[in-house]
Amino acid sequence: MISPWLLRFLVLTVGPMLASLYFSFTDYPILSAPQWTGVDNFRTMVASDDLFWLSLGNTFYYVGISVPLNIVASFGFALLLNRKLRGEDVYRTLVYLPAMVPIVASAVLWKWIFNSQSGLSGIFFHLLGMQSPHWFENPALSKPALIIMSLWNIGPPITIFLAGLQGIPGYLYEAAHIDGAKPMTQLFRITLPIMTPVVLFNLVMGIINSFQVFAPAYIITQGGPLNSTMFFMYHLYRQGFQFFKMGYASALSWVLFAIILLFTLTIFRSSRSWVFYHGAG
Amino acid sequence: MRKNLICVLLVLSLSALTAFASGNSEQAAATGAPSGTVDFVNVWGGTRVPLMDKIIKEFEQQHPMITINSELIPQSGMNERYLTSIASGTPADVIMLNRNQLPYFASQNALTSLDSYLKRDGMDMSKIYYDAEAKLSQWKGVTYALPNATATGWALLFWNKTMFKEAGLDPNKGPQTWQDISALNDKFRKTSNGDVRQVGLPPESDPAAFYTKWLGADNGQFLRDDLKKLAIDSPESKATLTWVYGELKKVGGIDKLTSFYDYAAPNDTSTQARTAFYNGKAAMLLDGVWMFYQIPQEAPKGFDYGVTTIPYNGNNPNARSSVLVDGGWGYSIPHGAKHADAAWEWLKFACAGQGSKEFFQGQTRPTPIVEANQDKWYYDNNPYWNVVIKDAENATFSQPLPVSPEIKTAINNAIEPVLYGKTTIDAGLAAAQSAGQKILSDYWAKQH
Repeated sequence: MISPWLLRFLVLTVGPMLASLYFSFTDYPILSAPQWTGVDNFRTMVASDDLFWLSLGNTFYYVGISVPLNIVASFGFALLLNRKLRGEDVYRTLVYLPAMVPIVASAVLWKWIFNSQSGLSGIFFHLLGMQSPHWFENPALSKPALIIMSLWNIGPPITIFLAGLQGIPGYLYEAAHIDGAKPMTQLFRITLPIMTPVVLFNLVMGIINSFQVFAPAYIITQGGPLNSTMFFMYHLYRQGFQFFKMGYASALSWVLFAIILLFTLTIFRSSRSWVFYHGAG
Repeated sequence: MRKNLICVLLVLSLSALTAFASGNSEQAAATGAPSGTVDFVNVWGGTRVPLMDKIIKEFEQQHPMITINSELIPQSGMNERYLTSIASGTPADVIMLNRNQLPYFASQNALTSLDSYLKRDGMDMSKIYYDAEAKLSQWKGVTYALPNATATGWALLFWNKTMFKEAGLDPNKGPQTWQDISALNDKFRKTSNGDVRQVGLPPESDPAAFYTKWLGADNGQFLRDDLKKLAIDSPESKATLTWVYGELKKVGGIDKLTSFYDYAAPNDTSTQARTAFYNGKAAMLLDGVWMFYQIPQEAPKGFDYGVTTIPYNGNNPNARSSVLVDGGWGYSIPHGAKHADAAWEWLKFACAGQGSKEFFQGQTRPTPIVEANQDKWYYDNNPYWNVVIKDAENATFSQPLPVSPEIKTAINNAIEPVLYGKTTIDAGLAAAQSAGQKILSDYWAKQH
């Protein structure tokens, strides 16, 4: 008897992936049969589609800044929440709550936050005696605005970091304290090394998720202004569902898969030199 | 004993129900009348829900064998929903489709041809609907939709009579030409510390606006008559973009326009020009016939306004007040619909009959039906009805193609840098023509 999990995996994961791989070599307008075109889609991508390179560049920009920022911010919050504080459960809940807010509601909220007159951005800059920038209307600021917005969802990595911090044996800190180690020394010599496996996990998950950034561009900026927020996934979505070129969209999706896989394998390979597994023989 | 009684009653009830149902279907079969539940997917939400409920009720009273199951969906993502449902063989019976998408769906055999129904019921599209409306419902001469909302009436010029009066202008005389608009813009524009605080007509920041809204009023075309060449590099296009961009530059560009909207329409992310118009920060507005319904509900009490058709380029002797129309809502029956015959009855009622008249009269909007728009009720209830009729009659049909969305995206990508001052108008138009023409040429190459 076949395992239900295996059945589901084959039918709902492997099957669609194989279908998508086939479609990537076809001209497939969705409502009629796919026509085999060989590597035409991949050739078009590289040689004729300016938005392919632009969207890739925008995505690398987003990933390159948002992932480290998210990791540093979530680790910092986890360190703060790891202290014995009154109401710590409330703080932990509050920090996680934004991750539960639907993306559309978040988008509306952030549009207001970044409003240069009546939003938080406008109020903040007004207090400083300055004019607030137009975040989503300025091609130079639209990506940074979305990167700042990504910090809204650091609840899950904070939770994972917190779990990791609470797994660090207390005697290590006691011993360090007895030896006269200052808090910063303890952070860099005890906490961080022991937390590297958790950092690795959040790094890999962060990269996988960030490469697939889509919703903010779809809801707030529609790829603009001047294609500054034309991310790879949004470009892929438009090809498939607005221009009805599902074959080309499938080809783009496999390129994205290959890029994410390459990054993930590289990180895992590099982890031998910077990840320390406490308690490993 | 009691259990037996319950069983007997249950069996009798089921038998009665079965007899009733089979009686009905036998009756339906005997008369040949369409029957069934018609799944109708649409986007008429908000204030239109009670109007829709009313006409559905009337339809069901007239067609007791047919039930309409109306399902509201959001506009964003509607095409994806249609695509997946049609591809999986489980479409709704009637879908509300923007007719600029009709060529794609029809070319993929995703829609049911309505020609046999029209012929059977003696309906002539050209006699019922305005010319542009009928053409937009067809692809390669076959009708695939009935027009629901008009393709026209979406670009009328509204002006604030109170602001005009206060500025010493005749409140009953709106602009007729682009040059009138420019003069009024100069008159109404007010700044404070370098920021714009009041405008005449809010300038365009959407790169598509120059060809979707204004090009028709300069006697311009989107596609040449043979449909094989794009006309974005024409003198009319250049004149239109020059004027549109010129008015944007006068307020200081997109950055200053954004500051104006932040001030005049705070927290409004989708209808900023409209809000600025209601707030008395914009003296004019280019918007559609739905405003006759929206203004009484949204504008301050006593808001006094005038309406005229879209102003044209007074420097072009061939220009007239006209808008290029290539879309507009229609109702279609997808390929694979389970109740196509019943769906057709609903289409007739909602798009060519009493349902259409009531639904759009309830919004003080025109219908695409020529005769319905002549109803005295409109003239009695809307002092600007002549403007609406003139707009409908003057519209210029622009044939959409299956690749039109892709062409327009390419054009917009090329024109947007012009509006941001990153490139010249000539360079932008040349890039738009080149990018759009490539897509068009590739499309036609595949047709042979």
